[in-house]
Order: sequence, then structure tokens, then C-alpha cells
Amino acid sequence: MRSVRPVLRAAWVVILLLGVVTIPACDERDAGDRPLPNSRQIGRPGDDPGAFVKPRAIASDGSTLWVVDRSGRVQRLDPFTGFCLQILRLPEQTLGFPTGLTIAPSPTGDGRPALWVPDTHYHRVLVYLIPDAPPRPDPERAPTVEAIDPKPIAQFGRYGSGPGEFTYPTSVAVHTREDGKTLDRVYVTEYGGNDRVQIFDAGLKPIGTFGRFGEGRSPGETEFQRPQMVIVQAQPPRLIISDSINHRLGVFQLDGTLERWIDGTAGGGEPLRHPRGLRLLDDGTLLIVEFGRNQVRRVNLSDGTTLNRWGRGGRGPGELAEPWAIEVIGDEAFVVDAMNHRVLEFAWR
Amino acid sequence: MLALDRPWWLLLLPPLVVAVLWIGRKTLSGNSTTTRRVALGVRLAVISLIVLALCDPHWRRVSRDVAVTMVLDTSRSVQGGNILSLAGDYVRRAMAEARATDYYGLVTAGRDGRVQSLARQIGQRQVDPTKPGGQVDVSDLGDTEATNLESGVRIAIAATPRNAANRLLLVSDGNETMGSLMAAARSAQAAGIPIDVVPIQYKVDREVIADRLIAPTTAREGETTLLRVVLTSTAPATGRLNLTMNGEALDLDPASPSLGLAVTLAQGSNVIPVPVKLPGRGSVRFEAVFEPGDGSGGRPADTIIQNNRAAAVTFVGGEGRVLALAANDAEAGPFLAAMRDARIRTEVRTPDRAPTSLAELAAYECVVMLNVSAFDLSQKQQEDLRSYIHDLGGGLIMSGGDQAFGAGGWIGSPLADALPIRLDPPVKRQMPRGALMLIMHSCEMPEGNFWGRRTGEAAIDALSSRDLVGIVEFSWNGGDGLVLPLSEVGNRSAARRAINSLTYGDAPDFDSMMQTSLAQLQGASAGQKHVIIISDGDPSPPSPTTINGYRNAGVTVSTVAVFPHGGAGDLARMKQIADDTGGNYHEITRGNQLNTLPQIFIKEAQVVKRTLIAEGDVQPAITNALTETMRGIRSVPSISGYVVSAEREGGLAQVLLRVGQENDPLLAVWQHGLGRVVAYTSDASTRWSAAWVGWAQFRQFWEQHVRWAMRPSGSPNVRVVTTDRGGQTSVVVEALDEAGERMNFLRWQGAAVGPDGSSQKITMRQVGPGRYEGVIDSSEAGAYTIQLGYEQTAADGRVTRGSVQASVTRPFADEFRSLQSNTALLEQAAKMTGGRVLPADDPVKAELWSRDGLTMPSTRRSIWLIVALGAVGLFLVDVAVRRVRVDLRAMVRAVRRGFGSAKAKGGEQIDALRAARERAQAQIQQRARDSAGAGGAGAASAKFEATAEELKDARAGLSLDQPREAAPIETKSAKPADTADGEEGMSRLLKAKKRAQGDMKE
Repeated sequence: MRSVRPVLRAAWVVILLLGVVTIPACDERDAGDRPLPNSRQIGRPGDDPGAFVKPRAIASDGSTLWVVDRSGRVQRLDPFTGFCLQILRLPEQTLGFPTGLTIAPSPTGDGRPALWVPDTHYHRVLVYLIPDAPPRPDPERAPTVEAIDPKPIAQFGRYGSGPGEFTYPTSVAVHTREDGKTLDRVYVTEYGGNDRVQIFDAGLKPIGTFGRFGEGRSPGETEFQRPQMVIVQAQPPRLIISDSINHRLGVFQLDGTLERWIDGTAGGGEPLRHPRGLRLLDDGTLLIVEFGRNQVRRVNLSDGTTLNRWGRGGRGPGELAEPWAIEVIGDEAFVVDAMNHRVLEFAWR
Repeated sequence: MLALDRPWWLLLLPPLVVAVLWIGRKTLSGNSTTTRRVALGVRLAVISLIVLALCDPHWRRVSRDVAVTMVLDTSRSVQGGNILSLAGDYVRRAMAEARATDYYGLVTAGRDGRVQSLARQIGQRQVDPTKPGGQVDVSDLGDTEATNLESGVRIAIAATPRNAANRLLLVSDGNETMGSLMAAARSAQAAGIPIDVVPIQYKVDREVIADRLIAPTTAREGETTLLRVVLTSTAPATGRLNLTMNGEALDLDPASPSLGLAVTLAQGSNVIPVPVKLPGRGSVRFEAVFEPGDGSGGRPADTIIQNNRAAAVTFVGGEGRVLALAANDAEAGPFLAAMRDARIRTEVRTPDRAPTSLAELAAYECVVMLNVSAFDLSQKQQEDLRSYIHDLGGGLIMSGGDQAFGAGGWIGSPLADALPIRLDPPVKRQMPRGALMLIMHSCEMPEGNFWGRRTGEAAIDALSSRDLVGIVEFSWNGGDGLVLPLSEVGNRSAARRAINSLTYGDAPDFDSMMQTSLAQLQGASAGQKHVIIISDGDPSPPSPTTINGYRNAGVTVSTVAVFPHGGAGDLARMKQIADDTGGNYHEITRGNQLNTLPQIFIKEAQVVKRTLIAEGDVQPAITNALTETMRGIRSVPSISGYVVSAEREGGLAQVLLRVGQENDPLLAVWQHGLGRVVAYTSDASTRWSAAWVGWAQFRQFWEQHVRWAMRPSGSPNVRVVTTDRGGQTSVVVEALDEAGERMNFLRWQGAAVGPDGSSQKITMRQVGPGRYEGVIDSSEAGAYTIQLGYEQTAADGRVTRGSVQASVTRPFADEFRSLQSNTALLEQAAKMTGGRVLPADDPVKAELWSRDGLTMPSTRRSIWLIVALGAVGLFLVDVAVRRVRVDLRAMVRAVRRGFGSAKAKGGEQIDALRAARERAQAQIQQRARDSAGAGGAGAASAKFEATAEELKDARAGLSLDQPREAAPIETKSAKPADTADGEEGMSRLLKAKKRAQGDMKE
């Protein structure tokens, strides 16, 4: 027994040391300024299938990812293997490429999923029906890539500043009725001097607009500078808009009435820097991609406090360079890392 | 599998085994049989592993994959049948049957080999169905006007993956026009890479080729000369022959309504004569084009159109001519009058009508530029001018003005090296310098990065070394965006490096970049401060505060909007910035305007260059009067302005006039290559040289300089004939003097400038009376301009000089001469490398990824360290087997006793102690009573003393004088039970201990 005591003593010292080292690392509440934890890379630089040229927007239909980049392609990817499944090549590309992507019920009203593409530099929104999902690919054998018909089923908008006209449309959000199939309202954000949000009805006719270009200093006026993204929250019905250059998010009712602004400082957090991509989580919190800080932030919508932060700027594994957008499938988040020409996946929960 | 690099160490094994067994017998004898056997076994294992480690073992893995790299001939001779999609289909069918781990890569061969995709595993490859070409996804084929199969094969060999066995698949028609496929095949053979070939068969049976257009190289003005067009046809054919002279179509058949001549061709060579009256002086370019009609049987007479053109150039000569370039009469007037008086034939043109080809320039003996800025001539025109001087011996006189030399954007231009002065102002001069900030925003436009770089470089090249330049772009990582802080241009290397390190991020607003730029400029000491922004207008406009900052600081901002997406938004924004700050606004809205971007930047950068003009009355001083050009001129009048420049070091340039306090060069001359150059930094008009225009010796001054610079003109009786032979052209000159006598023993100096601007020397040899011959390499398609200068020293020492020009045109590449495929060459290459000749129609049967004849590569990993570590580990086990006793039962007991029943045991012990104490007390009292009888005082002292007998007993129990085996200290267990074997040494000690404890209890 006497000979066991030194062993016990040694054991306690070791346990203590281990505890000192590991316990701080267990606190993932604020993992900012560190690379994304256990991130996996999807894609690489290139213009062949499965590779990206400065990707800027992402959407998900629940099982596959859709990414649009500056090679004029919208690629449908399998999130597990990174293989490309289908490619949609945009009809016109000389002037530029879309900066947003949304998957929402089709304007035909039958509930089929559709891809809404704000074709930013062509001042219009294109809508495509999403073909059936191909089977899950075998990681050993890359599947054949299918082409998606580049002719859209619907298209609206042209250059201008009047109703139904756009300068640079950046994002589309669709609000449906309770059945989840019939369209109720379609919201489109735009910038380029006429920074505002336009509201369209189920027939894609313009019925209203709110917001105007400004730095947000005029009280009582809703001002935007580059509203990059709009998303719709179903319950309670709300719009959340990232007012990118004014470094804040706006929470509005469906008719454009302002509820409040969120600038990230609630609860002592750091102010938002160029918030762009947004994604609501199933627990009611919101993921924000901060373009100007190369980070992803999770906030509580009711009080605007910051719950988590992930990521830092750089070009190494798990680091972000000009992140634009984010999408979530289950517990995994997918961040579009534009300047590194890839999508990074990490667990947000 | 295992491979041993030094297997002779294995010989050590048998003696070591024997040694281990023998030593083990003795040293292990103290142990039980099982222990002994186990210990021996482990020892033998340790020895074996150590010997294995000494043998330097490696683990070899043989790859089982095959990589096929296709070398696809994409030259024009093969593209008749859309080779890309055919090859794509072929590969797609072959890959359906291939293994997922085999590799496939693609290399194309045109004028050079290019890797289109590096070899990747078939299972991981994905092909974009929205791109044309399918499996053959090519990004850039390069020049397809030649076939260089050697380059294709060599690049394919270099690009093969190392972890698979390699084959090449050459798909071609075998008609190579450059390089040698067999040389590359030898390399493939040495590398063990077989070349399988898929020959593309074709034979053109109906073809008309315009072989050449024969025209005299020199002729007299007004002559009627006979051109001959040679057309070769494989079968009888009809068609139409069209001829243009300097771009204008000639009416060859006045009788018919159309301009061309209807011709009927027989099989073979046909020569069609065409008489032509030559126009005025200069170089005349002819081009003949054959339009095929129907051949026999109604089928078209011609298959390949590219070889239906032939061209030739004739120099219509006379006396030497001078070309003057000037923007208007005010600039040119006085100079032209002087030339008229000097009887030098001068033609004047505005800069926008300056000659666009070297052949056109070659018709003049000297070019005079009167206040011409670099922006008025394209890059190519400037390079042609330099070639004209250096290689063709032409003369150049550059005269100044407010748009000339450094103030005209000539710094860094191709002509800058040809001038006898340096356009950069001298370092010593205290001159106000300019400061320029460039704000670069990557645009959504295609190839935005490329144009960003070009414009940045153009702007920097236009600045002089003392100016300041800085570059700002949006910094995605939160910095200030200063790619290059405002600093001296110097030798431009820092600025070039900065441009190459731009990341072209997406700027959300202009404000931050403009504020950074303003801060930099405010801190600089410079005369002119300017900012140029290049963008597509996407970023948010700057705040009014920033704009006011610029206005207060007097900094102008020019904006260049590239593809601003039309309409109000972006254009308005960028124009606003320029208007608000007093800068200029430029717009690029179409792709073909993109190449004006560098010029725009140069022009804008010139804003900071206004400082190079020195105005005010000054008197020039003659520094060198003993030159040909200044003969008879003792003094010159004053001038009221000039462009500042610096002297060129090295002494080859002569400065003839100096001016000003700093002795700036005003007039300098030198020889550049074959030509002569004069630079005069004031002007030849009334702007700065009013006194000169009225000066009596004005004409003499200019006449002497022009005549000195002019290239010596040729005798009209010197004729040049050129003959094309394969990839070379022979140049034959017949030289007769004015009297018609043959000129012998001429010394020649000649150069030919090729279609890509490169020049080659021509060596002329005399091959007959008055007959000289030289050869030039003319393998590239295009026009070659030839300049030959000759010198003859007569018996009385007089030197006659002259020159003659000629032009050779190769209108189409040899690509288009081949009329059938060359399968034999491909078969030869396959045979040499052990490859196969595969049919084009059955890719699956062809088995592209066959392993026949291939050696599979293997990778080796050294594992001696793992083996050695294994030996060390086993050694510890060996020791543990012999020394460590682990008695589980006792341990369990101890654990139970030690922890579970600690308290109870404590209680027992205390009772036991008490009982023992009472017993001891009783004993002592008993002894005391016994010995009290004998003498009672010793009672207390006898308390703890043992009797002599008791001592003896105890000693006997201990048996101290028997030798004992020393037990190792590691042993921890206190009371192991006797094992069945009954260990000896330990057991005895333990028994003794027990006995002693037993005594204690009593």
C-alpha cells in the first residue's frame, strides 16, 4: 500500500495538468480569431466541375448545395463528396455574374422547388425549376455531370429605377402562404445608387418598395447602403436584411415597417463589419457572415446579442478570405470562402 | 512487400542465435522452464529484429495504375473534321471500360505543345456538359497555324504522373511543319513510355494553291510592269482571280462587269500574267486571291481556302524622299518651306495617317517628327519606327514642342532608346515633381485582372524616375489597402512588384480607398498631385467630406469607368467624382476599347509631367562646331522654350547645342544601328523659335541635318530578285552603276525584319560579275522587309554608297500545303517506342490503358527505424519476463485489505497490541518474580531483554550466515503466496519474515 501512494500522487498531478490544458479549449462559445473548428474543404480553384472561380452565393434544397461563381456557372454539389452533380450555365456572362442565390417554391404555384437567381449585372431575376436530385454519388467513381437547361421558366426586371426595375439586384426572398406552396410575396434587394427593397406579388408584379440610399443617419427614414441579402422568417413573419455598408441588420415586418436595427454591439459584442450572408437556424437564432471581418457570427434575434463567433481571415485551412454567404444542412454550416475559391464546412451546433 | 538493401547482414544471424542460446543456458538457469523458454524466445526475436534493421529494410508498393496522356494534333491541317469533338467522343467511349484508378490527361499540339489537363484519376474526373468539347476540354490552343508534334510529345512526357505506368496516345495526321517527332520518340523510348498512335487519314484530291505572286522588287515611277500569279491545281478547275494594289481592287478584265479575271486551270502549275501600271512613288503592295468555281463533276474545285492568297511588295523608287509628320500647318510650315528650298522631296502627313507597316516606312529615306506626341502613334507604329532606324538604316529627326519628348509621353516608349538624349530629366535638377496615386478596383469585366495590370504598368512607365507613385486597392483583411505607399518611381521595380501583388478584391465603397490616397498625397512634397481610379462603378460613392478634402488639398481625381453597365447609376457616380475634383472622366464600354486603357492611363499620368517644359528666353551655345551638320554655322539665334532632357551617358551621342543654366542638351545626334538620329528639343515653328524661322541660316541648318540623317538612296540599276525555297528565301542582287557597268567588290551590310519584328543579318557574297547572293530564314508566314546597303571604294579613293530595299511575303503557313496525311511517320514513332497503331473507329477494342510492355513503378519506404524500435520494445519485454513478478491474487487481496477494511483492521490491531502488551507485562512480571528471588533489582531492566535462549532461537530462524540471492528492488508485493514451483531465494527470506512476525504476535 505504501508503494501505491506515489502512484496515486503522480496520477493526481497528471490529471490536474491535463485539466488546465483542456478545459479552456472546451469553451467554444467564442472561437473567433481561430480557424473554423474541424472544417472540411469543398471545392478548389478552377473552372472545371467541382472547382470554383470566386464563388459568391450558396443555397440548399436540403440534400444538395447550389453555388454560383464568377465563371458563370451555378453548380449543384453533393456536400459529402464534393462532386458536381448538375451545372447550369448562365445565359449571359460578359457584363458580370450573380451575387445571390435562393431556393424557394416556384412561381407556378405548385410548390415545386425553384432556383431564384438575382442576375446582378444584368438587372434582372431569373427563375429555374430544380430538377430531381440525382442519387447520392459513390465516392470512388465521380458521377456524370448533367446540364440544366439555361432557359429560365420565369424572368423579371430590367435596368431602371422605377417599379419593377433594378440597378443591381443582389438577393431574392419568397414568402409563401400557410400551405407552403402558393407564393404570397417576393422581396428583392438591390444597390447601385437606388438601394432599396422591392415587393412583388405572386404574379411577379411590383406592388411596393421601401428603403432608400443613405448612411442611416436620418431618423425616421429607412436607409440602406448595399442591402446584400434578405431572408424571410416564417414565424413570426419577418424580414431580415443585411445593410452591408452601414454595418447593420434590419428586422422588418412583411410590409417594410421597421422593427429594429441590429448592429452587433448588444451585450457588449463587437460591431458588425460588412454583414452579408444570412441564415436562420432551426432554433430561431441567426447566422451572419461578416465580409469585413472574415468571420461567421451567431446572434439571438430577440435581443441582438452575440452567441458565437467562428473563423478568422487568412488563406490556410479553416481560414476565410472575403466570405460572402452561408447555408446550413442539419448540424453543418457551409461558408462560401470567395477569395480562397472554396466552400468550408463546419459544425455550428 | 519487403525488400532488403543490405542482405549480407543476415549472415550474422546464425552465430548470434547460437550465442544467445548458449549464454541463456547459464544465465537463465535460475528460472523455471516456462520462463526460460519465453525469455529465450523473446531474446531470439530481439536479435532477429536488430539484424533485420541492420539489413536496411524497405517496404515496396507496386503501383497498379496506368496513365494515358493524349497528345492531340490541333493544327489547322487536321481541323477540317472538328477534331476536338471526334477525339472527345473517342475518349469517352474508351473511358467507359477503364478502371476508376487509371489516369487520363490531355496535351494539345499546335505550334507548341500545351497541357490542357494534367492526368487525373478517371474515377474522380468530371466533365462539364455545358462546355463544348466534352471530354476534350481545352482552354487555349495557342497558335494552330503550325504542327509541332515534337513539342507536344515532349510536354506530355514531362507532365506524366510519377506514380503510374505511362503511355502516350498520339492522335494526328502526321504532317509536322516544325520540330522532329522522331527526336521526341527517342526520348519517350528512353523513358520507357510507349507511344500509341491513332492516325487521322485524309487526302485532299481537289485543291488549288496560290503558290506565289511574282512582282519586281524595285521599279521606276510610272512603269508598266508584268505581274505573274502562279496557281497550282491538283485537277482541272475554274475560278476567278482578284488582284488588289495597296488595298484597292484592280480591274483585270475591262470587258467583263466584274473586277476579277476568270481563269481556267489545268492540272499542275499555271502562270497567269497580269500587266499593271505602277502608281507614284513609294512601296506598293499587291495581293492576289483565287476564288474557286466548280471543278469537274460539279464539286468545288478547292478544299482549303487559306492557301489561296499570295502577296508581294514592289518599291517604286526615285530620289530619296523624306516623310514629315506634323499635326498642322503651323508646326510644319517653316520646315516644309526650308525643305522646298533645299530641293529635298518631302511628303507631309498628319500623325493619324502615319505609315502602319514597316514596308511602307521603308520607302522613305528619313522620317521627321515635328512636335508629335507618343499618343498619336500606336505601340506597333513606334516599334516599326525603331526597326526602321536600327535595322533598315532609315533616319529620324525628332523636333520638339509642347507635345514632344518627355512632355509628349515618349518616356519608356520603344523610340526612347533610339534617341541620342535621355528623356528623363537629370537627377541633379531641382524640379517640381509629380505625385500620382492609382486606385485599382477589380471590375466585373472579363479579364479584369489582366487589364488592371496593364493599365498600372502603363501609368508607371509614363512617369519619370523622380516622380512619386502609390497604389491602393481594397484590403479584404482589414488593412489600409496600401499596396504601394507613395514613393519615388526610381527604377520602377518596386512599383512593378506591387502591381503583380494586387489581389483584386471586391471593394464595397470608394471612400476608404480615397481617404487613404488623400492622406498619402497630403504628406508628399510634389508639384502636381493626381489620383486615377479604375473601376466599374460598383462601389458606393465617397462621402462629401472626402470630396471636400480633395478640393481643399488641390488634388484632382480622374476616373476610368470600365464596362459601367450603362445608364445612370455607375456612370453618374464616377463622372461625379471627376467633376467634383476637376479631373477627367473616361469610359470603356466595349471590348474593343479595352486596349486603349493603357493610353488613357499614360495620358492621365502625363498630367504630372507638365513640369518638363522650360519656357523663357535663352541663348543656346554651340558646343561642337566641327561636325558635318553644323558646318558653316557660327552662331544660332535665341529660343523661348524647350523640353528638358538629359544627356545620354557613354559618349556615343554628340551634343551639338546646349542651353540654359544647367546646360541641357538642345541638339544631339548619333548613330543607332544602321540608321542616324537627330534630336532637337526646341521646336521648328514660331511657338518657341520665332527668331529661328526668320534666321538666314534656318534652311541650311535643317538641310544639313536632314541630308546627314537620310539613308543613302539606291541606284535605279540595282535589281533584287527573291526566290523562296522551303523555309528560306534567297536574295539575289544585280548591281549596275549609272553607266550600266557591273559593280564588283561591293561591301554589303544588310538586315531583314521578319513578321514578328525580329531582325536577322544578311550576308551577301559575290557569285558572279555584279551579282551577289544572300539567304534569309523565312519559315514564318508574313512579310519580311529587307534592307541592303552597299559601299564601293573607287581607285581614286572616292566612296560610293547606296541602298536597296526588297520585301518577301509568305502569305500562308506551310500547314496548308500538305494534301494528305503522313501515316508512315506515326507508325515509325510507334514502332520505335513499342507502341501500337490503333484504329480510329473502335476505342474500346483498342484498350488504351493496356498494361502490355509497361514496367509498373514502385514506391519504397524505409522501415529500419520501426524495426529497430520494435527490437527495443521486445528487449524491455525480455527483461520484464524475467524480473517482474505479478501476483494477481495477492494484489487483489492487498487492494481489498488496504482500502476496504482499513478501519476494521486498525481496530483489530489496537486490540491485538493491547493484548500483546498485557501478555508481555505478565511475562515480565513473571520473570521479575523469578529473578527477584535471585536478586529483584533487575526487574525493570529485564523488561525488554530477551533471554539468551530466545536470542538463539531467533538467530536460528534468521540464518544470517547463509548466502542469499539478492532480490531485485522492483519487487513490490510483500507477501506473495508460495507458487506451486516453490521459488527458492525469495521464499526463504519470506519464511523467515513470517517466523519473526509470528514471534511478534506472541
